[in-house]
Amino acid sequence: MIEFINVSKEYGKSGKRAVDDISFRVETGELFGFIGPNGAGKTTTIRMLTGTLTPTAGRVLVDGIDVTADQIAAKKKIGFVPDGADVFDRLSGLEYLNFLADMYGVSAADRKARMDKYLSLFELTDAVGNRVASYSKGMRQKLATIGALIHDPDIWVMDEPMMGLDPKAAFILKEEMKRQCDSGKTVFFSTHVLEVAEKLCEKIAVINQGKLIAQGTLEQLKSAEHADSLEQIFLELTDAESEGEEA
Amino acid sequence: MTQFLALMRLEFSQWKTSMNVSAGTKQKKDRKVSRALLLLFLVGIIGAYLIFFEIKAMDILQPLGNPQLLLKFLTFAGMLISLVFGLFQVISSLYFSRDIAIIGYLPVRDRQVYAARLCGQLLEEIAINAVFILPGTVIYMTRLGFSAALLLRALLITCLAPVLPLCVCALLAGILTKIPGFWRHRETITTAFTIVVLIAYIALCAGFGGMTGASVDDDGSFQNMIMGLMNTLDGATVSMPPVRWHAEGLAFGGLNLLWALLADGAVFALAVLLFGRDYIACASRGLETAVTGKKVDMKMLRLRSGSALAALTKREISEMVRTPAYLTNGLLMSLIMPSMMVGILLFSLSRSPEGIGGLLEALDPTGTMRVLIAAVMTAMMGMLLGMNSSAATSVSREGRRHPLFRSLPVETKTIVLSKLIMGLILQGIGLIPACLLIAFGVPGMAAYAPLVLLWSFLLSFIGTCAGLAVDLNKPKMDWLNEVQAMKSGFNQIISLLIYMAMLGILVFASYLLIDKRIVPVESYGYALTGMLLIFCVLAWLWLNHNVKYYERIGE
Repeated sequence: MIEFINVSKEYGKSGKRAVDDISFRVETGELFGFIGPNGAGKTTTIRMLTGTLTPTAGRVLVDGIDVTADQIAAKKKIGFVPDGADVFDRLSGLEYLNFLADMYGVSAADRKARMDKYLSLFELTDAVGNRVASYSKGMRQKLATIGALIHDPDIWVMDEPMMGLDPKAAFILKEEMKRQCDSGKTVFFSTHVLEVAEKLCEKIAVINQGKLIAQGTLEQLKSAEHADSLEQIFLELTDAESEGEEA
Repeated sequence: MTQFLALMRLEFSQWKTSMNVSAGTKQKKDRKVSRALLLLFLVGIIGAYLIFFEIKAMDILQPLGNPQLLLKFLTFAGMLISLVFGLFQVISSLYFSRDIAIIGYLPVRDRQVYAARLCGQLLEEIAINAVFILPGTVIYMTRLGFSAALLLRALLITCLAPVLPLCVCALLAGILTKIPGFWRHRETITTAFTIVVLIAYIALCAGFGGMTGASVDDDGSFQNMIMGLMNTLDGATVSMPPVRWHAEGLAFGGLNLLWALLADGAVFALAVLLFGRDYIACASRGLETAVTGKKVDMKMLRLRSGSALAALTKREISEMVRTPAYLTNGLLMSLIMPSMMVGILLFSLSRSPEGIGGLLEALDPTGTMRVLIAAVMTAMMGMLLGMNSSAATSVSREGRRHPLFRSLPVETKTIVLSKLIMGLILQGIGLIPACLLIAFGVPGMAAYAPLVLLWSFLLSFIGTCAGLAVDLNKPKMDWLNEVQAMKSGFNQIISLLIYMAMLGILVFASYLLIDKRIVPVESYGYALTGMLLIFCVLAWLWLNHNVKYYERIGE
């Protein structure tokens, strides 16, 4: 379970809020999509969830653990795929996965089993001995995804996970996200690809200019906004918000 | 021309940002002011050493009727340093920069991009040359009278002196890229090439010392050194007319200046003409990465689990030794230089008629001074250790991967500790052969070699802690290539200067302790160990204090 309670984040002394008093809850076993235009505050929100940034106000809870108060315990529950899959270029894929497994205290037998499973699933077995520097963007994304699953986390957090993936890899990833949820894990991801959110997510939250402007199931959002598609909802919400700001 | 100027502005903006001189919030400005003051203070200490050298040199050269030699020597030194230390930087900025992916799409001519890149590199080298040439010129004028013409020449030569060496570097880099298989093995080739050039440079510097066997400690040997430098300079300028044109252009002006200007223009044009033509296509190959490593048989694979600290340290070491820019800029000093320095020293001393044993016997017949000799050797190695910038850039090197580090379920202290351990291991590896050389190469010093190792290691600890503490305070996370990660920004300069100031305090305290007989020579070893331990504690406390800044990166 993930819970944001009145969370805000200000950068520097300017007082400008990248995230402004947001509250939402993601239940265990849910597949939750977090959408918003560029610069809306998605990455800042995810960074607060993963303990990379400290909220200026409010609390972020992961399975009841306050991320600020007990970072280590909270981080152990999360598997994180960073935006742009910036991983360590100078390590081989295998070294990178081993590094993460050591970080999360995964036993040798478990890491071997998970590596076998996911490397084969994402078709990365043949390249795992090569340096990450030689990987394409999609391969890096796959490696980062496998790295996030190496400790079998309760909560899987991904920042733009579809970026750079070919259609087949994107399909495999979506299937794995569903499978994780079916096995009782929570999946939280941000995306620009509204079709993915529409097809996959049980619940969706829309953020714009740091504020959470809508949240709920797709059906709830459709009926609230009298719209037929997530794209229509998204455009209406974000346009209305921008016009409100300008007025 | 408009496009070229726009590219130049881009280069300048990137340089300005990398040096952290852009404007910011009031708080950031306050921090900048305090850092600038600290930097000014520390530069003052090093500047004092340089000015001391220049004044002493003038004391010797003026009575000999050749004060211009100082100006010639400073020009020569600036050009040499630009040639040696600019090489890797030129290769990296021309061929390994990520921003070529963006610039490559712009509708600009390859040669314009190439020329702008080269000019961007010149900015940094001009700053370095200014440090050499301008203070020397001022000292020269204080002795021989103010001359506006000389001042103008000094400014002109400061700008011109790095052109030739940088263009030579660019030509060498261009030739390297044409070697078959270069792009596939570019990192190995570039690293090997840079190491060869650095060793050649060290050998050349050792040649200076070997010629005179001297330091600046006493006037007699200092005079020998100056005379030795004069001979070397004469040889260099005769065999390399462009160097002479620059050196004599500064000292005398006239046609030499014109020749220098023409030579610089010609070599710049040659570099742009030869390697600017297909520059974008060539540099874009730097974005492609050759597949390295071997296929893993997952069925046969045996994995072992380890601690988080061990994994972090292993990752730090892997990155350091596998990245040419880190290896050549950070590690070479600590891995090779201590042994090379001791080796060169022993080689020079062994050539004297008395041999090393005889010299030591004459210097210290009773054996009570050996501890002081050990301390001097430690100080010499300590100077080299301080030049290693790996600690002062270890947080900055995380770059865009920082959020990944922060998402790991480990204490911040563990991450910082892994960086400290990496620095200590790699410096320790460099110290061991140097101390073995002392133990087996210097008669009667075997018992003191472990002491040199211990003291050097303590110095390494202080330097690594200080470097890390500085980098934690204000890391530079946005770099375009790995050379920028290692070299841009002030952190390594600040940590080097702090370290040198600490060494200076130790030397001065040692002088007082022995000269004023506060401590008997026999007990000096304990006193030095005590002083080093105090600095270790202070450095450790400083590092621990700054660990909290790691969690504020990006806030």
